[in-house]
Amino acid sequence: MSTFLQLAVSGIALGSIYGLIALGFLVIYHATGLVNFAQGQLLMAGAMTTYLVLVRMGLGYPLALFGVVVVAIVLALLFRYGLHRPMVKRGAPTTNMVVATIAFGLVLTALVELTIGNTRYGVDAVIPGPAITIGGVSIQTQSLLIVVVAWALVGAVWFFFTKTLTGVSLRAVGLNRTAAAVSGVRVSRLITIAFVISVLVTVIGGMLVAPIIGAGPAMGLSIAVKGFAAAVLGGMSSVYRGMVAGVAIGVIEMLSSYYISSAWAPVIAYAILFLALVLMPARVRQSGVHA
Amino acid sequence: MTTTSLRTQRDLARPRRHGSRRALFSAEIVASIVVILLPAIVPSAYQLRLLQDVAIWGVLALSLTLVLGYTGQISLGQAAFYAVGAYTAVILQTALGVPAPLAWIAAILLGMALAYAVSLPLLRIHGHFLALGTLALGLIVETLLVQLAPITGGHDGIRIPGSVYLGEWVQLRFPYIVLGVLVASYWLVRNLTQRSAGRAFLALRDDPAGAAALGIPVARYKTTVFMIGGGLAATAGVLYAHHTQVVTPETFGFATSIEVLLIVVIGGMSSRIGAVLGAAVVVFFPEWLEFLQEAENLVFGLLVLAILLFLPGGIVGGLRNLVRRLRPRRITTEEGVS
Amino acid sequence: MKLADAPRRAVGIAVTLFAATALVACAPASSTPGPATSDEGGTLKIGYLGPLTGGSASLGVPSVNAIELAIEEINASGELDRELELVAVDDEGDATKSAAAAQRMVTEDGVIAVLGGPNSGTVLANNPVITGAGVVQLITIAQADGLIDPESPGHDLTFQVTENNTYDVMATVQFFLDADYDSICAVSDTTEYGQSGITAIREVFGDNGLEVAEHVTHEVNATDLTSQVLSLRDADCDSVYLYSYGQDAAVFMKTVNQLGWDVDVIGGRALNQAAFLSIAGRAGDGLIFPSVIDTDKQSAKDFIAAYDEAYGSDDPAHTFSALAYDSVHILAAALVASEYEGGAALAEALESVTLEDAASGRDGSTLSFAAGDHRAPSDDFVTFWTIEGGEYTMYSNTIPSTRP
Repeated sequence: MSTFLQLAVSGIALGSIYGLIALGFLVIYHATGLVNFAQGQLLMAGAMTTYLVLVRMGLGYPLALFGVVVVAIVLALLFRYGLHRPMVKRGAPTTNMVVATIAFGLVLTALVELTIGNTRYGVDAVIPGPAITIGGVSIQTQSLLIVVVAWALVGAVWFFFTKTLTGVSLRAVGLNRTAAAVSGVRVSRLITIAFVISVLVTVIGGMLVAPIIGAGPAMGLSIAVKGFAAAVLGGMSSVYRGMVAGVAIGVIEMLSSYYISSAWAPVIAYAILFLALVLMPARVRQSGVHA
Repeated sequence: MTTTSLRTQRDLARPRRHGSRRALFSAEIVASIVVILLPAIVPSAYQLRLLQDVAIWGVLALSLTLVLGYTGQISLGQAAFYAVGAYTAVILQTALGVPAPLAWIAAILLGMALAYAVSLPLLRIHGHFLALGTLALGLIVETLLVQLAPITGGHDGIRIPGSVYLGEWVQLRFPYIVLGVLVASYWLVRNLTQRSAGRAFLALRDDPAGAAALGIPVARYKTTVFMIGGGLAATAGVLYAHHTQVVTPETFGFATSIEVLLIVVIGGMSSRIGAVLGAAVVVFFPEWLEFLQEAENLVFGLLVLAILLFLPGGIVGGLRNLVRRLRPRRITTEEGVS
Repeated sequence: MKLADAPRRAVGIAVTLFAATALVACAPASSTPGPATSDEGGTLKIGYLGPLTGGSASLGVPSVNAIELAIEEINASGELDRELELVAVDDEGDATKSAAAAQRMVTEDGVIAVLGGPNSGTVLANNPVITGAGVVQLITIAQADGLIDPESPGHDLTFQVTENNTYDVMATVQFFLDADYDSICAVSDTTEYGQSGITAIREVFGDNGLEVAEHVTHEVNATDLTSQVLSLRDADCDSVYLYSYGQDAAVFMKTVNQLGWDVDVIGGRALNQAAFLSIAGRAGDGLIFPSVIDTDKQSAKDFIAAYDEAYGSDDPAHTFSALAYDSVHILAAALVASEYEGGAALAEALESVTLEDAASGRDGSTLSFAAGDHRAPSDDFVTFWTIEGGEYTMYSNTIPSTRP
């Protein structure tokens, strides 16, 4: 029984990371209809920044957080004004936008490899010390922190989207850009805000994950795919659903790896993504807005 | 008669003058002959190898051009069919002793069958979701190649030395086969897209609802195109297996699907020649950029971004724009030439 | 329009087919060049082909560094009448790029030998190209057992400097035999290292009357290994054979610690990767794994000092760099013996020389090749290391090992 509980707890911790990626993914998607295939590399950017500040420069976590926020804003603005807006202005088709996000990710990876290194580096946890064990079930302090922060971020973003004027306007932009513009909403500025929120959330996810799996250029890829799966499984709708779906994927991954087979668990995860996409009701798919 | 029409980068049904169609046709024939004869004049084994790499990527890219450029279906999983083609051909020949031509045909048919099977659920979704779905497919195949080690050899791969399985005579002339298949694939895609079916594909891509309203069997066409695309990718796989003389799983992963997508976008999305040009860029640029050493990946990525920003129609799109700007146009209206 | 085009189209296609057939029947494609011969008195080029970027770069970069170091030393000492020059190409771990780069190396650059990288996938692809051109290939650190295939035409020009997986496992199995565990479990990743590792483990265990009670796998760059650890714990294993890459092995050990599971863990050679120590920290304490460095050996100490001074600490356990370093030295010795000829003459020369004071291997072991057996390490080559207080430390250099 304690094994099952342990699997569940670890699954929730793992799934919260997926949910955080889904969060970043959904924010941009709802505002612009863009699927950002560079989420994994953005996660990596957060992790590498944390490594740089904490280990190479020897400064503490508060400065690391600051560094991570700065990097997030820079990357978001770069992406928004350097790529997204120019391409939208020229009427670029969906495929080109997809490839642009992929290429952005490739450039990030290459940059990190070139300037920092090509291996994986360890990063200290925020709260160093042994794992917390309650009744035979244990969780690393960092994992607990991930769960708390991830859900807090989801809550904050939800609050932003539903209770603040900016957030509601952003939703309006996503639903019907023309109508929003006509109502006096400053569309371009809001889209930029959406980018910043999305990148910030993902980059913070990278900072949280780094102490658990290390920081390195190749770390974000499989997490990103499962994050997409979480967003899709959650119906591409509210950020809460994405989070819950992420946790579901994490738990299913754990349970299937233990009870069925560790060798086939990855295939099961990808098959879930495939099925979720195929079985998702059409009206939900088509509700996405295009840039 | 030439007519002006709204030029967007998605436009392809360019009406051409009868004379220029014929000129283009002759040019294509001549180019085809030249390409097939290239191995006889290329001086070094290294250039020949690069040429074959370009051809194999070209066939793989043509499969995506067909599916993406002409019917608008984003596939991030072409590597899956690539893998099926390569591994089937190799396993049939090495483990079951099937002679090469039969094995190749079986491999291509299997690629098409998989594409058909997958298209039934997949083609109900569009755009980004289709991209994700094909991505999932590619990842599943990539994992299976490693897991099913008893069949696929796992990471040890399966060797298929050309002198043993193709015979010395064929092995020495294999570059001709590779280039011949490239040319044949080019013509296949050309004929598919030039006929009325081709215009139907374009209608399908740009306005599925309108196409359906006109009585075009949208679902059937999409599936057919996807199937042929799968067959082309499988063909590229067969060529790859014999060219490299070994198949290993890492060649057929997500990175390959990405590379094919980059090729198609760099070359020009709805352009057959763009597929080959993009392949040439992807093969040759790293060679030219080699002096950059470790910065080569970064520069290449930046190059792709630049192309996306400034040449949204890829190289071919850019060239077409250039030609259009240089060539004077005659405008015909109902009242006559003005 | 169509009617007028049809005969033209038919003619065009027929002409194409005829021309193609005629030529295909007559002329073979460009013939492969003969083996590179050094220009009289000029520099000798040595090629290196491996991943300098991408996932395996942490193995490839130390290799290239060590090769550069060796070449500098040899040129400075004047032990060869000719200068050595390095041609290093990054194949990014990609088979197609590797084969193309190999073709360029042997054709355009005229290298006299190619030192090969850690990925067996790329070696399998570039080997036919390199040996097909009559050039010798030395595989520096790829451990897969089947890389030299007696049935492939190039096998007499292919040499493996590192000990292979079976060698490591055969040496390691003694720990399991001596400790007389009740239940031995294994965990491996899905890379070539893990996959060929578990195959070797099962075989060697079978030969020694042991069995793997429970085996779990995971993908490389895994995010979480809790279910794998739990599977092994609940199978009541009292020892674990850990055959995963550094970063995942580190996550495994941290999870073992987190769950408070007290178990003996013995690892494979990948634990020499810097990523393992960096990520595992104190969780790696007490692990035992094979290595090729004997810190009591003078030549090893000299090498370590020279490497660290030139390149810093990118290879803290020095395994990968030492093997690449020795590859160059043994090649240099063979070049003297073959009077700077490449191809079959160089292969024969390689089979005749012995490297005694190599940077790698236990004191007293040697690196040498023999006809029909192109694997360099002699008996008693492997040492065992451990991690103590978060540092790599040699555990033992007296455990015997035999070549498979």
